[in-house]
Amino acid sequence: MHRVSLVSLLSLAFLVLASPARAQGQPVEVSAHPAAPLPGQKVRFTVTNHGTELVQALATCIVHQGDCTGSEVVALSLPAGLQLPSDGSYTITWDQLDQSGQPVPTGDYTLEFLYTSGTTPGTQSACGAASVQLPAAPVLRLDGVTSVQKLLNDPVEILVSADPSGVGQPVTLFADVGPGPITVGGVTLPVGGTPAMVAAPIGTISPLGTLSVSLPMPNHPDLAGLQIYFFAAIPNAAAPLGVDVTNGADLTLVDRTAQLAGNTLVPAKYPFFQHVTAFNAGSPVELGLDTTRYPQVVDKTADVYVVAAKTRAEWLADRSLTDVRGAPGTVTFTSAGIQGNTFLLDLGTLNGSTGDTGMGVPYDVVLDFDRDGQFDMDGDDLADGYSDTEAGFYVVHDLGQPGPLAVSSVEYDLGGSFMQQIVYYPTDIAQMGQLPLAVVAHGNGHNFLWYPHIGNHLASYGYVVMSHANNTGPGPATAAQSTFNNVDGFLANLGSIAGGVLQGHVDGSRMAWIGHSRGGEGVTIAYHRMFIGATESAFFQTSDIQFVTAIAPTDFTGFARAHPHTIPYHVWVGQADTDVHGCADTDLTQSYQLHDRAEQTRQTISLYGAGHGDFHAAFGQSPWAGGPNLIGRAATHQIMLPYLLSLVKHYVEGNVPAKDYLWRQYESFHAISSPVGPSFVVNLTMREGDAEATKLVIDDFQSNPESNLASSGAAVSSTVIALAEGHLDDNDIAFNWVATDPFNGFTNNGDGVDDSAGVVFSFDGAQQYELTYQLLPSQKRFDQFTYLSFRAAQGTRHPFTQAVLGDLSFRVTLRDGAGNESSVDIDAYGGGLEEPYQRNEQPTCGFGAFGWNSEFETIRIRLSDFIRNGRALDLADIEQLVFQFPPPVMGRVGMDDIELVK
Amino acid sequence: MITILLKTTLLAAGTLPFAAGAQSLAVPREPVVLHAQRYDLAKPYIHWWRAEKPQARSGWLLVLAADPEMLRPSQGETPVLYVGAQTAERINLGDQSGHVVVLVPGDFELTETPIYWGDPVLPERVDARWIDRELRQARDRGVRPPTPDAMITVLHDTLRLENENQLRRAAADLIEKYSPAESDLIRGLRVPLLPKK
Repeated sequence: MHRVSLVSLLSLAFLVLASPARAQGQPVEVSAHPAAPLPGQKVRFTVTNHGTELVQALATCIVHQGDCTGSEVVALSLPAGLQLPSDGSYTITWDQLDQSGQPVPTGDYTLEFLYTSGTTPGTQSACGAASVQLPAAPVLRLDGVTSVQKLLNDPVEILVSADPSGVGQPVTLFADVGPGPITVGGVTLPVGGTPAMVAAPIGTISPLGTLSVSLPMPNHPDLAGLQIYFFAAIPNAAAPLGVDVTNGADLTLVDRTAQLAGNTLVPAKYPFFQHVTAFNAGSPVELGLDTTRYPQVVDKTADVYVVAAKTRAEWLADRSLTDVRGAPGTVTFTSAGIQGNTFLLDLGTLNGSTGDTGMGVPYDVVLDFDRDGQFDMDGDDLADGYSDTEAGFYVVHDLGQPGPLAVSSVEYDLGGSFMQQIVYYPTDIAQMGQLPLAVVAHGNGHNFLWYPHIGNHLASYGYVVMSHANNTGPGPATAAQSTFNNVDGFLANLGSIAGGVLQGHVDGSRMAWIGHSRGGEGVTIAYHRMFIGATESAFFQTSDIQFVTAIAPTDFTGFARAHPHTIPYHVWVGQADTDVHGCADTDLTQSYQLHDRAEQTRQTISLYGAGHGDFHAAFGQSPWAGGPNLIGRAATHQIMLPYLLSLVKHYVEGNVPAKDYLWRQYESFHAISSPVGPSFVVNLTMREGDAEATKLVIDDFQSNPESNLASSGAAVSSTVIALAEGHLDDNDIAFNWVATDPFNGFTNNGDGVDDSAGVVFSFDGAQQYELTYQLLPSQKRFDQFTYLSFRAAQGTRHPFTQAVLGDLSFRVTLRDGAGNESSVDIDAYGGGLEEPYQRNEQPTCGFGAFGWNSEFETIRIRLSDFIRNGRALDLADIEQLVFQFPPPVMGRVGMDDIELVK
Repeated sequence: MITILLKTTLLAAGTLPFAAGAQSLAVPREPVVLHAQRYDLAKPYIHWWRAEKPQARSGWLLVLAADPEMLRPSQGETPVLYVGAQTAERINLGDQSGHVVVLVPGDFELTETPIYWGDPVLPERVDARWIDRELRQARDRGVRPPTPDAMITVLHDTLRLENENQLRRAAADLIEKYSPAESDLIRGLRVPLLPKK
């Protein structure tokens, strides 16, 4: 007998083996989650249409005893007219009750899904089985899992399953506010044993071996955040202490919040809906509620309010609801998952202009279930945005348009060497407070007067922008000194510049440094020198620099000097750049190397078709661009300025909606006036810093170079072709594919002490290939994070890449300790991995053909999307993270920075 | 004089053989002096264009006619321009006009000093040892100093100025004359000096 909680948890491992194999070749497949449920545990049958023809469901489906030929247990109703398009799926939940509402005994059960399809005559069926089994040891589940977040005032479903010896025995539930474990009489108990611990009888194990009760949760807002730890005890004279003890399970009480605002995914594909933070003005806003996660709302009607956002404290002080649209809407929720519970909130009429230099008008969404015109946070109501840190959603005006402030500029010379500057500032700055400072350092052969697009744009949004003459001719180290001298001189002379109007209105403790080319390397070196204490100013210090962005930076000085250290760091790359071209034959022009040295938050934005000179505004000068689909200077600026504004707003001011622009793929979300079309391809990467334990790194490839071991210590297995782990560095002088250069086209790692590493591999489309992370016990709590994040790139000029030359998608699958799994395709959100920019002009970056870069972009998947529509997956107990490459997709991929982020 | 004027005219017209595609030539033709003027400053400045970063108080303000391809600015390593054993600080680009204005610190006679291109490298990394090597190579390939005759017509009176800032403003006047299309650079060099409080 296994009577200790950890052992009982381990006993569930056999369920993995019980997972059914996918029915290859069947157009319609039914899978059960979990495949081996406990008695009384909800079973979710997912029906997926793998065929090409539309599937039309019949009104009911049947649960049989045994296989599909067995006796009928119950008929389950389906939504009228339910259709499954190709690759569509629908989940049917069975609560293990028969036709008369009685629990079914243990044994095998099969769901038969009946449908018609295309031109095939008659009714067809597809079947999937689940095996209801008693556990080998007592088991405790809260809402079917071992760790759950629970809204205040919502009940939690407690399920205790016992082995046969427990039938008829009373169950005592223990609850504590400490996690434990403690040991009592040689028995380990999964609670803290604090004075607050309570115990209460909750019922008796039924003849079927289970006890299921609904436990109400308290409703006082002060209890939000409280964590409660549970276990149950069942008398057993033969056991130590005379009781069998279940596993531990924990519950966290949370405010009555829910992610509501978002967009339906087009084309329709699981997870069907994306909850987001930022919306462009003029775009529709939808409400999507996954009622399988909020079953209490099923069949309930609510008034839906879109209101001006309030903080949590403001909501507690004032519950009144005033809809900004004039009047609330009314919706009734059903059991039909997210697709059946998606409603239009606004067609695009919501105001996105803050009226000042802000970015994004904040709104909250409230579901008023008692329809009393108040947000009852201690009742049944739900809100998106009931928070002190973030509104429900933000509507953002066109970031490509100038801000509301008139801008003045003045040119002057501070005297000495390369001390000419132009400063852009709000004309009415004398009536304003202290404004953050952006510094622009130009590149070699460029001029400090060539950045009015940046100066005017940022100044119109409340920044003081100083662009300075940069001594780039000698090299980037001299340019670094030039930037330092100019910032120092600027802050020292505020009383004189522009007649002294800036005095008292420049916040030198909030600076963003922007450098172009040699100037991009220069600002990086300048920051490095301050970081290591080699340079000091009387007017500013290292911590005053809050963000550094380098536009197509050179890398002459390498790891030792061009090092961003811990500053939030960003790099722009023009893929058509013929100057800082990124070819494999020299490290001096590989901009990504600087980015990969950044130790904390780091980002890249690269623009296909943009040249080196397109980033400045000297329209008569050469764009230094070569390749197909050149986008030119004007379009480059239309893309660049909204992103630059988002970057500084986010990193200097902590703006919330700005972050959405910095990681959501360009093809699905970008500033309103940014150009759209096949020529306009933008790749984004974003890696979070690890401050305040906001992320969990699964594999960054910076240690444990063995391909079967992640940097975190998790075991890695794979079936992919030609997997190689190592430095992200093209190891020859060309981008031509050769097998001896597995990281062909990757230019992230320089020479010497640079150590940026990743993994590359291939898949030929003949079968499904997988890369599997067997997670450590400390990595199982996916429920504590918001997104799975990784960066990935197509391997340039590999035969599998060349054979497709298109957007590449693959699948990410999570498997929990009970053998449940759920998958999301990365292209569900509107874009996969872009094909490389096929540069076809000088520099060739190779021979025989022309060189392309292997270019990363970040993919982020909201973790709650994996449990959309009732998919049974315990996000608190994830055992495997699997990257799957199903046929017929072929390709070569590089990956890095696999992590969970909040 | 006639020779110099002829060369200048041909350079501007892009008709000399090295005016286009000169990178393909193994040995680039060396620059020709169009304007030469000594400067003396009351206050020294740093010559950033070599590793030692020496202080400079005097030197030559020159305008050179040169192969535009050699002058083409790039973020990568480009050929370094030397005057004898010194690097020349290039004030303007000159890739369109073929005329580059340079500052060359030091007290030397131009008629004893070859003007030549060296290998592509960052000037901030060039030190005396490197320059010695470049100078030897230049002499080996036959680069000779400007002749006294050639200098007669291009030599101007010594500039006696207070500081580097005034020197660069003087350079701006020469850029305006010899490479007027570089208007942003000229404007940048001439922005008003901030009054000291």
